[in-house]
Amino acid sequence: MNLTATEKYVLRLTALLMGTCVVFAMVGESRIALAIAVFNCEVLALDQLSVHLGRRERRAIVPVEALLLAAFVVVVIMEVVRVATG
Amino acid sequence: MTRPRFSLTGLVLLVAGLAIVGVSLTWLASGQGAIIGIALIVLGLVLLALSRAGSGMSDAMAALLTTSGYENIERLVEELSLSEKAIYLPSVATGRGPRALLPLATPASVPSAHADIYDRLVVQYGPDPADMGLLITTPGSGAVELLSSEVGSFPEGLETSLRVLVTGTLEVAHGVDVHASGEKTTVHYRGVRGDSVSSDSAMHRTLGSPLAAIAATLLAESLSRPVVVLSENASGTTRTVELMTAAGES
Repeated sequence: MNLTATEKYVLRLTALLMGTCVVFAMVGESRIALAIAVFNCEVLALDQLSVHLGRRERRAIVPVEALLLAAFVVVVIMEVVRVATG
Repeated sequence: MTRPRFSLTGLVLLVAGLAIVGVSLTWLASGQGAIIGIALIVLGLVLLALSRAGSGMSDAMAALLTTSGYENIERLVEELSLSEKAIYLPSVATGRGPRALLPLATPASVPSAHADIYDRLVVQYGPDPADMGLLITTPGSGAVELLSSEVGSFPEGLETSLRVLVTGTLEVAHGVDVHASGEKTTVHYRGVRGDSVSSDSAMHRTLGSPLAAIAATLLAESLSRPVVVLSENASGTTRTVELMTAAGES
């Protein structure tokens, strides 16, 4: 099947995120903070590996990456506060 | 140019993800349900972002500008009865950017890559008074500017740069292979869609198709040498472009 680089990127991201959900379900993992951290890493890693993605597409994803990173930072701060307060 | 499919799918995934997260955290108290919802939200956000990754210009307007630009150059080529194939020059030759030289005389001499040609429409590119030609911008000239880095070294770097351009940025083909053999270089485009210039046009005879122009320009940039399109063949959705690096005289 002939797919463009953007379509391949979307398919890979879908497979990655859904595959992670399946793995989480299989091992009984239900921590939302961990899921956000893993999704964040997956999106950032896939963006770096998708060298064929166009410049405009790459630029368009930057706000989403920033949002995910912000969510990741919030999760980390919440965990730190939780550990610190016992 | 936007992608309406991505926009609609992204919106649906975002709303579904938010609903699943809400229901999972309130009624079901299910962390795994919430994780699936978050995955859908991430996917929806990425699709919505990609749907807006366009030039801001409508497809119709872009086609209009392209057609008028091509027709103007074609009229110029026909009016001057140019029959020599275009010589694709690297940016070091003009100091401004990669250009295509349409020699006015037949047979034409080939300028060296460091000929220091003044970047104007009508140029003298050699010491001989007959060394006159038209220096024009081609789709390849614009394509080089779309690359986030310099054109890679020959041949692996060139193949990577071409692949990034045609499969990623421009999305006009699904694969590219570059084969080098002496002075000749063959570029195979696979899964080509939309080849806008007809093969019997004056533009096609002198400059080649847009895909040939992109390959020739990137090869010229990669080697810093003038390049000529020798031939082009189409078979189904495959295009084969034969290029030759030209030896400069002046």
